[in-house]
Amino acid sequence: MGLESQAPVVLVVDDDMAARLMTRIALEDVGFEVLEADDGVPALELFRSARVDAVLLDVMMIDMDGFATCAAMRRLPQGAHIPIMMMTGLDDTASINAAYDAGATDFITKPINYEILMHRVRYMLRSARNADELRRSEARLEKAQAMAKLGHFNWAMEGGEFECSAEVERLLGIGNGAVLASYAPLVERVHPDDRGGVETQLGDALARRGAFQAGCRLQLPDGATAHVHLEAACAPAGDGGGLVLSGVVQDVTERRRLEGLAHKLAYYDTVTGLPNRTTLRRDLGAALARAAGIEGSVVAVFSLDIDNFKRVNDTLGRENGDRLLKTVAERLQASLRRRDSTFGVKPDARAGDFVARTGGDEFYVVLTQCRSAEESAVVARRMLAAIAQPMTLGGEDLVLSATAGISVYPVDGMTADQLIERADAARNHAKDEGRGRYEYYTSAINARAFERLSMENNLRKALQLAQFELYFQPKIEIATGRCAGAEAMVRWRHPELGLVSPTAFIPIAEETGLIVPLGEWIVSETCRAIATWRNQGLGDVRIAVNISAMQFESGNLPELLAAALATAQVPADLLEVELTESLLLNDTEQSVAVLADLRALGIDVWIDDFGTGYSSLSYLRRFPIAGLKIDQAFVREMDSNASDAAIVGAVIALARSLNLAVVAEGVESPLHLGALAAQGCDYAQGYLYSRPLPVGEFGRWLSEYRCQGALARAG
Amino acid sequence: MEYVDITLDQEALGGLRALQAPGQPSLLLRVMDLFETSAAKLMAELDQHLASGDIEAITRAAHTLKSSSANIGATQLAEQAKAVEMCGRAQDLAGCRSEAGRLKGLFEGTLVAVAALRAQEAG
Repeated sequence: MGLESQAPVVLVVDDDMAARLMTRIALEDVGFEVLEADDGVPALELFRSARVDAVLLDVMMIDMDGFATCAAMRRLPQGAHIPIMMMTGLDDTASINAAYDAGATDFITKPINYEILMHRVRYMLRSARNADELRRSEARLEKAQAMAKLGHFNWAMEGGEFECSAEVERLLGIGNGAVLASYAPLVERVHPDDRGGVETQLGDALARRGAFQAGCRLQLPDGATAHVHLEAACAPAGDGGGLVLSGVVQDVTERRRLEGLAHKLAYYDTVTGLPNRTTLRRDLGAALARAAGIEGSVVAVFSLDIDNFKRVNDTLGRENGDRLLKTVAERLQASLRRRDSTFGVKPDARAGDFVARTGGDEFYVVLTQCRSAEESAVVARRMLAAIAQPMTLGGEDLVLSATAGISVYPVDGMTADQLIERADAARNHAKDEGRGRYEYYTSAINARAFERLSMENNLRKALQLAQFELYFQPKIEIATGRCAGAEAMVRWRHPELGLVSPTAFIPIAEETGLIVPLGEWIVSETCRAIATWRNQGLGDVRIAVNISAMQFESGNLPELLAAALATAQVPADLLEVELTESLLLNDTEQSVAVLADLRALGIDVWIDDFGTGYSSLSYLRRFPIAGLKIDQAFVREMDSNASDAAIVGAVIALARSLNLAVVAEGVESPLHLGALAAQGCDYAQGYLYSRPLPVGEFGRWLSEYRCQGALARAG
Repeated sequence: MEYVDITLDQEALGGLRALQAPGQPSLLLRVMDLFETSAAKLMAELDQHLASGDIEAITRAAHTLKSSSANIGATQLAEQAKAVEMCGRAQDLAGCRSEAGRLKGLFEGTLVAVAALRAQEAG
């Protein structure tokens, strides 16, 4: 309501009718509206019931004089700020003082000059309007500050009080009207981690009479933490006084929370909490950039949807449809995590993997650090199987199926968009071919994936069908020529495929987790073989078994070995363990514990394939290790390749300096043996002595070899 | 009846004339009518209060008479009413009575001046 739109209303209170008339005429003449009262009592009545913008009040009246009327008006809620002009005698200073005491805004002397009167009334109304505006704008400012959670403070630095607004009082936990001597309580509220920085900036601002701003956390009196934006400036006071530090504090906690929420809405799907398409493209792009830096990196992208989702969704209703999507999201993520445990790779090593939902029933899965394109098929199958698990929604038992298309970096594309598009294309193709299945974009990968799948299926049955065989290759002490034991090696004899190379099936066994039961079988068979030879009178033969990363990290390797030894009634020192060095680099804390347990059992640990992986020599000192095995690749090429010979020489020298024994693998000729002996190598293993032999044959070989040795020594 | 010759203050009358809106009944005459009525009433009240000795009422009536007469430019009457008011404020009843004795002639003179003014305005 603007005063401009309506004529201002002036209430004229005077018991002299002639004076009222003239005042009325004077005021109406310039556009005011006039109400009249001839005494204080009817004046108050009017004042309460009608809109009054200003009051002209005579002092001397019969029933209630002007002072009492003025004071009574001021006490009314609407009367606090309305301008009241009292009409007094020219030289009646007592009345003028009494008028101000009663709360009058102004006075005018009688007899009234009407020309002057209307100017005075106008001026008085304008001042009142300005004051009113100011009050309103102050109220607005206060309200705005409260809404913005903005508070201000002032501190006259020369021993002045610290004055602050209600918001600052709230943040500092000080009561109304509490008086602080300085800004110190504000600094004390700053979170300890941020306080140093704020103190430095503040001190600097005070020293150079400048300004500063800082984002910091405040510890609120109720124990909560508020994020605030602090700005302050140090300047001389406007009235020429000393320096004043003045500033604002804005509580941005809620804004931060909303920004976080906005970020979540912008980058994540609200139903499942999974990354949305924007995030999928961004994070896949980042994964591809990382992969580009690593030779041989493979990244797989699945495009996956629920078969007949629309029908299911229509039947279930939207709420249950959302729950279904949440369940699918959870199952997909669980399948990703299982990949970690299955592969024996720590979760953070697969940190780039994620599931995304881009709308409807469209999900995407990104697998980074795949060893091969086909490897992703293991995860795809597990995900489809997980989705196919029955679920109950809205009292209905449902069995869903899903279809997936897979594209692979770098063969199918180099960019996120290409890979997404090709995964979609593969999915559509898979749908055409029949649902509930997955398909690669590149058909050659499909074929390889199929091959792998059949290999995997065969491998699963191999244990039950007893298709694995254990072979033993002797290890000879070079100095004495005595057999110091053997290395146990696993072979897979498939009825159709024949003898399958360990390099072909061990990676699959590791990826599928079959390595665990296979490893257990190897350990127990080895112990049985040792027992067999003892029973046959061949004495104690020390056998080394290869332990996979997964077994080593399983946490129960020492118990497993101890149990197998106990079952076969074989002393622990007849069993040895061979580990690859990369395995020891993974998790040193856990590794130290496992190695210590093995040592306590009396089982020696050897580092296998030494020199082929990433070598950190420090672990050789750190871990309790019996010795190193030099990879056969170096040994075989010793006599033809100077650098290989140098590596073999260096490894032997290193081992000797660390008091570690050395086994050379792949020793095939007397020439090799001579060179190794000359360099001080302790043991040799290879076709020079024997190929790997089955249990029975190894027994026969051993007794023959011992005979020859005895004969040689006798001769 | 004895009356004092009164001249109305031209400045005050000018102020009244300035308020006159064109085409409207004469404001001056209306104000004069109102003055005659209220002043006659005040004079009667004042006599009554002087007789009864109600000094507060005397003071109030004198004050109002002062204002009303000043309003129409009856300066001499206003001055005398003010003298009565001052005695009243000083709780001087004898003074009030003595000063009020001179009011009558001034009031009559003012009525004559008003009548003359009215005749002048009408003509």
